[in-house]
Amino acid sequence: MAEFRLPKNSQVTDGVSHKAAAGARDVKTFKIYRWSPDDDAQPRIDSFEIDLDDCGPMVLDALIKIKNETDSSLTFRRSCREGICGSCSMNIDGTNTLACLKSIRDVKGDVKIYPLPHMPVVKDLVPDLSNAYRQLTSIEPWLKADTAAPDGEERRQSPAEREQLDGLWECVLCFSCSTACPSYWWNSDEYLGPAVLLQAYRWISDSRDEQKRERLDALDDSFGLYRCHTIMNCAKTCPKGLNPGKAIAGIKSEMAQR
Amino acid sequence: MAQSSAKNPREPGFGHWRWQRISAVVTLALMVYFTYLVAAIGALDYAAAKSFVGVPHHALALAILIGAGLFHAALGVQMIIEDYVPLASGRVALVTIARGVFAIAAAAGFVSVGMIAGLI
Repeated sequence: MAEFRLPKNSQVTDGVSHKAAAGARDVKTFKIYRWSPDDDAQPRIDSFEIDLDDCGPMVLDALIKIKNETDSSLTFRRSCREGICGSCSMNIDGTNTLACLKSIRDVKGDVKIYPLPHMPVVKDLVPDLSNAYRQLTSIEPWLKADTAAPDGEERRQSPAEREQLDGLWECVLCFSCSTACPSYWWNSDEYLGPAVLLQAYRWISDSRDEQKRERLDALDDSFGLYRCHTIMNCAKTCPKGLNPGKAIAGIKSEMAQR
Repeated sequence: MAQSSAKNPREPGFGHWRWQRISAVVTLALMVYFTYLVAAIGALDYAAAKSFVGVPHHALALAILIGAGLFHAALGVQMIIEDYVPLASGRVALVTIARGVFAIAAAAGFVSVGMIAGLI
């Protein structure tokens, strides 16, 4: 039955406050969620004052600066620093996004940073994405063709066929959309979520793929696909400007037309 | 390639999705007709209103509205239950109960319309 009490570790306490160096002129406060599985402490919000005159422009720059200069135990994922790898997805200023694409100047007031919502936390800003990756694996996100390539080497596409993939191939699998979706919050063990469904539609739309029917058969599931209620948080939050809701509508349309 | 869960065996969802939309369109169209019906009987006394509604095409439209509307409601309530009630907490039982309630309501509606139309 429904749980009416929050779990113990959902109650976040005030943490440590780190002041900016003396002489700092353009100070911005970053309030960052901290939790470690290595002790029994409650999650806490640590405050870090950063001199923006001595920091890069993006939130990820500030996080790296904090880790390098103030608290090396601060844990977060990052890699490319330019919105390609999808590693640094987190909740910044109330919206899921990529820290490397979020300008500090775009945030009014303190910069509040939490891990992606409604996911188990591994440590600090690192969510456990095991379930999301398992779901991605389940849609078999690779080209499936039984016939040989026409010229024995490549499977070519016309420019028009290639255009069908625009708005789909750009997804970097940061899961900002899935973790912004209430349907995914309530049924993440059964609903595939917008990120995975956008990937599914990317392969359904690929003119080179020969298993469109099998892919649609696999998606005709009252929970896997049809938990989408077009809330559209996915499109609103996507740091790459994609529209997973439209992709899901595309799958439903394909389902209706076959 | 199937996405399934140990908690919830796979169940096709397209039929539910399609009927939700068909029943919505039918209900919406007949609600316009129902609004006209209510406006038309507003000035009539009980006996005149009863005979007006009892005309076959009015009674038929009312019966279809009751059926489509309650069917749509049952599909919607099922969706809400499935969204918020975990399988282990009696999801299937709740959906069955909800369907039963809507079926009884529909039967009551059909009997009422039949009585007004003089068929029962």
